Amino acid sequence: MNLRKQLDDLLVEQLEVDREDLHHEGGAAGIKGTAQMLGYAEILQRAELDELTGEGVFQSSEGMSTLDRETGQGRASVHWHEGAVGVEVEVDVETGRIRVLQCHGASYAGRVINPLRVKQQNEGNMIFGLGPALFEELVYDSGQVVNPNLSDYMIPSILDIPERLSSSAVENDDESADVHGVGEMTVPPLAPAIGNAVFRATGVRIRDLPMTPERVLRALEEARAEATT
Amino acid sequence: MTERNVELVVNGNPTTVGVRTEDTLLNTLREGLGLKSVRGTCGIGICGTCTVLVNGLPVSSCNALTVMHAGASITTSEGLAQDENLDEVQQAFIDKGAYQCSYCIPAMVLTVRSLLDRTESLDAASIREQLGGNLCRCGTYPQIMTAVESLIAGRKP
Repeated sequence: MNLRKQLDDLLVEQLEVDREDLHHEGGAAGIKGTAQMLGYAEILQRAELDELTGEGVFQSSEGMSTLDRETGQGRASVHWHEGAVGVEVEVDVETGRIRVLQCHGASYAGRVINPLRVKQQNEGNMIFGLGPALFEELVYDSGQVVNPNLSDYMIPSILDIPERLSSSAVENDDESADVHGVGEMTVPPLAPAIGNAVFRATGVRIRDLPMTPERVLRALEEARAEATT
Repeated sequence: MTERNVELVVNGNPTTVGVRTEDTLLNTLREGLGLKSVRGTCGIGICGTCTVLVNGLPVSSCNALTVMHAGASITTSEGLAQDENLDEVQQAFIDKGAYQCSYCIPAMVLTVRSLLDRTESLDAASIREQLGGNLCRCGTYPQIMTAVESLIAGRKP
């Protein structure tokens, strides 16, 4: 990713220093040998930018080549998690309950063999992901799981699926392209997408999963209390 | 430990099973009669994977005692197909891709079968309500909805 280089470009201009004199640490940058650091958000604000977009390429060294077609042994598909999810949410500020109204997920799918199975994975994984994002949690007491059954750690039912749920597979049309695993690709980005949407809607950051009504309500009340002091 | 002989009609076949009084229908069907589509998970009637039809109604077999079902007619997924022909619900699930790992699917199929047999008209909300007790970790719910909706559309004159 060339984000670091883009940040450096901005800093060279803002601080009037050489690129070699810059260093980064913990989401901030500064001049080597000095204590003062600028947060990345501040660097963008100074440059009057809303966002920076990085682009990069990673070339995996081996793909299908490790599959021995005679024995069936080896790696059958490359599988990096390239998934993305966008959501629309509604937050009840009285109860703290989040409702996901709309959900779209996409994943890089390489050469698609069975479009239905890819769709099932992309959409099923978002439904799967709604659990740990919103209400599913294993609770431990002294190392012991205290809610080990389905009655106590909630997994999504058919009643929990968003009204609008869709997905797309980013395909590689090349006949010789690798088959690419799509298992659980849209699970990891779902909770962050919901968290970002809740932030956009309410101004409140929820940093613990699942984002239960209790956690959301507490965060909303803290924000209200801060605003009035 | 008390043992009893209990007469059941399983998938249309009158059967006498020797059971202990504490045996559940799940034990009797799966272990006793080898009907492996009946699958236990939570053990407390929450998740729906052990659903069988008792006189046409969906029941969680994990918390139903076999001795209390003498004379009952029990249907498992194995009993739906007629000879070589799959039941329309099974066929619709295959056609619409309503399965992934499929652990929950036999119970889901039975619940849908019972729902169609008992109900004249169904909308999406009532289907979801009726299937709310059958959990699917893979999240195949959208395709299951599509399959059920296709069955309802297909039976309209």
